[in-house]
Amino acid sequence: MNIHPESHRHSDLSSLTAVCESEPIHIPGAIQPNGAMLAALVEGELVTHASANLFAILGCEAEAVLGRPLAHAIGEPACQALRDIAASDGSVRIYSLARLGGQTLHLRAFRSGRHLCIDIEPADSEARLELVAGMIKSVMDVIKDASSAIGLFKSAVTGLKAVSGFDRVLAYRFDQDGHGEVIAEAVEPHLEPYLGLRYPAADVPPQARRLTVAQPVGRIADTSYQPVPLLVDPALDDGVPLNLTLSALRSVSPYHREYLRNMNVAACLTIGLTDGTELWGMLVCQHTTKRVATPTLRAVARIIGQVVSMLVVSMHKRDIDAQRLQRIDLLRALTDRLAESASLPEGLAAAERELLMLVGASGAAIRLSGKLFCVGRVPARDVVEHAAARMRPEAGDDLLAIEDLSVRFPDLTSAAAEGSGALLLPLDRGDDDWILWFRPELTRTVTWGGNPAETVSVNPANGRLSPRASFAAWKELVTGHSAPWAEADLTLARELRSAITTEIAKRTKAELIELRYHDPLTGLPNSRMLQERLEKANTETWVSATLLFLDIDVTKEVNETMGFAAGDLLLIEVARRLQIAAGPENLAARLGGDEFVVMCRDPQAVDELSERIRRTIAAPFEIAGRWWNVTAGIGAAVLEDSSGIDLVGAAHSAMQAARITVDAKHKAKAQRQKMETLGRTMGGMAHEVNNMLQPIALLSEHIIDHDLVAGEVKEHLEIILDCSRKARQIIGDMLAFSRPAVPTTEVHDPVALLHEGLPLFRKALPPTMVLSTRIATTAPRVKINRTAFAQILLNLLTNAAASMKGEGELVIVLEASRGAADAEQRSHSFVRLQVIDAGGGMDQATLDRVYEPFFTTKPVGQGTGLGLSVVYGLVREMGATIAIESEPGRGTTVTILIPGNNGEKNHGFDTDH
Amino acid sequence: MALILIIEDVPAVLFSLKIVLEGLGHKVTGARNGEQGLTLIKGNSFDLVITDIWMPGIKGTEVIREGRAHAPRTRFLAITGGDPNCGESRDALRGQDFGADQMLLKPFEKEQLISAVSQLLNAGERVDGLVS
Repeated sequence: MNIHPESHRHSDLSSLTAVCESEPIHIPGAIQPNGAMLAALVEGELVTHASANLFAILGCEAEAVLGRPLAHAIGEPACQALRDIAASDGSVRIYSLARLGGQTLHLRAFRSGRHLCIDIEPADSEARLELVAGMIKSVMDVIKDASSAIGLFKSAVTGLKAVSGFDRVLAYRFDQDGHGEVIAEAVEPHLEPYLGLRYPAADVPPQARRLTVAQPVGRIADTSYQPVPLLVDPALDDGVPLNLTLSALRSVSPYHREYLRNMNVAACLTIGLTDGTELWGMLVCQHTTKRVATPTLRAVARIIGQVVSMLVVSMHKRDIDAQRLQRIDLLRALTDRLAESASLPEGLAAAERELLMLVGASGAAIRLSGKLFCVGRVPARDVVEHAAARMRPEAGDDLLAIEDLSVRFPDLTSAAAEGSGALLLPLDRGDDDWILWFRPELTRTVTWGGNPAETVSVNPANGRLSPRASFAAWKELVTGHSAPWAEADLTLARELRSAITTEIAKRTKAELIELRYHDPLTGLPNSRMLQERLEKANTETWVSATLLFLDIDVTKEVNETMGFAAGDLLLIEVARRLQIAAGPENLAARLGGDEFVVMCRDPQAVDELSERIRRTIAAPFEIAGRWWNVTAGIGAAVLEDSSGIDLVGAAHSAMQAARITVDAKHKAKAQRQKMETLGRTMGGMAHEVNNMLQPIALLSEHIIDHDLVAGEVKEHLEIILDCSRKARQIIGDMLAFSRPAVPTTEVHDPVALLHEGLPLFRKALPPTMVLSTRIATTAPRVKINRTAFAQILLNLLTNAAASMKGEGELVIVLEASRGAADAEQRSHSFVRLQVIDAGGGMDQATLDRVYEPFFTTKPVGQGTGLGLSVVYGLVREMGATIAIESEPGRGTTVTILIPGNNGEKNHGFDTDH
Repeated sequence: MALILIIEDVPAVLFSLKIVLEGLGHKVTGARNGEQGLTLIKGNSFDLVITDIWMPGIKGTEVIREGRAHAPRTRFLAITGGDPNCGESRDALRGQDFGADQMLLKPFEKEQLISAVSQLLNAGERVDGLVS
């Protein structure tokens, strides 16, 4: 093979190699001398080609057969046997041609385009079935016991050497770059072993590989042979060279023969190991002297090649499965960890050992939702990101595993130490989520059979390309590479991805459910969850459920004084306490805003639950350093057994009731504040007025006493004096509500007190009225001032009588009562004192102002409107609480709760009922 | 006939008290605030000091305390219209004496005034802070 002399200028290795690769070895136009060839057109069977040495083999001259019918050359029976092959491509027919004179010829026919080609060789003496069978069996016996690929190859080369008698039999395997490595060898002891040597990919150029795939068995009997040209019949020549791919006698490239001679190989037999499309290895028999590989041997070799191929493939698969099985436990451990962890990255980090062992890595980087987590030994973070970015395009939707990261991407040399090997596994969630495993650099020495940089050289004189002459061991230090990734590693990586995807899907679903059914601030179930729970419960058989509704009253104040964050903290704490009080058997939910619900399924437990809730809410809350008392209105709705109950309506009215209670609390509180402000204002006013009244009174008196005037003037002055006295009384009464005197208090039995006062009370009422009483036989003792007690009742009765216009029945109730407050600070027992009338009642607007001094609904002149304000003041002073219920047209009930005297004095505020 | 000092910031009140007491034959001096009053107490020897309690400046309680220290023999009568800063009821006020020998709540009757004054002027020695 020559190149144009001027191409010397481009004599770098790659361009030379390219030239080698372009050699058309399939159309050599010549054959090897140990046989002859005939080719005839399929149509008409006229011989078109004949090798020049036809006479030596067949006994007739090439020129004699060219252009003549094929049958003339090989006889009609042979033609008949061989011509059917015309129908198909790639298959080969064998025919044994007996010749006169004893010699049998081995005919091997194949189709090549429009031609039928026939290799003609002398038959070999071994062509007996039992010998062939024996040869095959002997090799198979050794092969079939192999337990590993290496063992298989060792057995194969050993067996093949035994049956072929060649000096050396090698097994090659090509790596992903196409370089060949000698992985097994059976060799004569006096020869230098080639085991472990590597041969550059260029030694077997692509067209040779393709040809081997088509025709796996090739041989050369004598590498120094002179090629025998194929003669073409001029009349039948169509100018297209004959494709001899399938020929066993095809002449081999002189370049290749020189290569072999340089290697001291005189004869060879090669068997390509393919998977049908790719050449992944070769079994090569070499001999130092000429040696013919008979058709029988070639047939045996072909079978061995096929069996070895199949076995290796199945072993490979078996190995992958075995490795996978070994690691399945790792995968299972990983998926378990993922399922139980709070978040995916945590799960993966917690299973660091398994994550790395899964693919045999020493480090891994995980990128999820924009955050990078690293475990084990990995390059610097920015290098990791960079590597992932570079690998991402090629990984696509699957993955990318490389062993030479820094070689492939020279800008990543800093990664070489920890990350020469990189396996990028994109996760399904968008572009930015992946796992990138790393393997460290594994520096090793590779021995080449000759300097791989010198595979081709060119003779400057004639431009002739030559293969290398030296095949001496040539060591190379390989850096920047890691141990290669195995098929099993990739399989398991993919399985991990599926597991992760499944886990993510589960979590997303759970998150959605959580969001959908829970209140984001407090984490409690929300109204939707409660609704569905109720609807579901409604269809099951159940006894009843009680819904306790809670409305918190101070959130607005907290928000206004301390900001909304504080209000949120309050709600979170309320929710927390509520959940604890509710317990696992009851459902506590937040409906929104200040409203909470607890669903109780056990009717027996409702009271206790209600009490627990009240108690826990009554304990003060610390919000950002300040203590708050929270009151909650609690309303209950009982849901009976299914059938037509309006759940929403029941809930609504329960809430309304609760709200009323809370509103009343609001009002009571507002009232207190109002009263205190009023008190201050009144004080100032009173002081001034008293000062003004003093001179009026004194001087008027003085004038009258000293008779300084008489008659009318004196009368007028007396009126002035009288008015000033009345004014004094008014001012005095006006102030009575706010801070009455610190009167003496003693412990009294309220029952006795009331009985004592009854005559007085009856006298204070119009005779047309009836005063009824419901007085308990015993009631807790109370610490109060008896005058105040009487004053309160008198004022209340007066008001009541006025509202009934002096007719009808008034009721006084006195009984013991259980306290509503919590255990820590307040007393438990109370005395309930009530005055009930059936008079005109008060509307809400009136109720709102009922304690205001001077506020009265009576016509002008009738009463000062101070009665209830005095009562209010007295009640507060004795540490009691007062509440008024009234409905227009239905009358009024005033209820006073006086704390029983068992220890601490009740201060009254915050527990207005 | 006694020497009486009246400390009162409202002019009309001061005037009316003066008229009544002078009408009884006493010699009456007036002061418009506590400071003035104390100065006068220290510079004179009054038999009776009638003082308002809630005044601008020094409160009557202070005047009484300091005045007593200076003039142990002088009697003190406190008069008040109530605490302007809160609405004390008359009952509540009655319970306090402000350190004085007697207390009258404004507006008091002329009778009450005369009775209190004569009691204080005819009282004996002060023994242990109590008027005997």
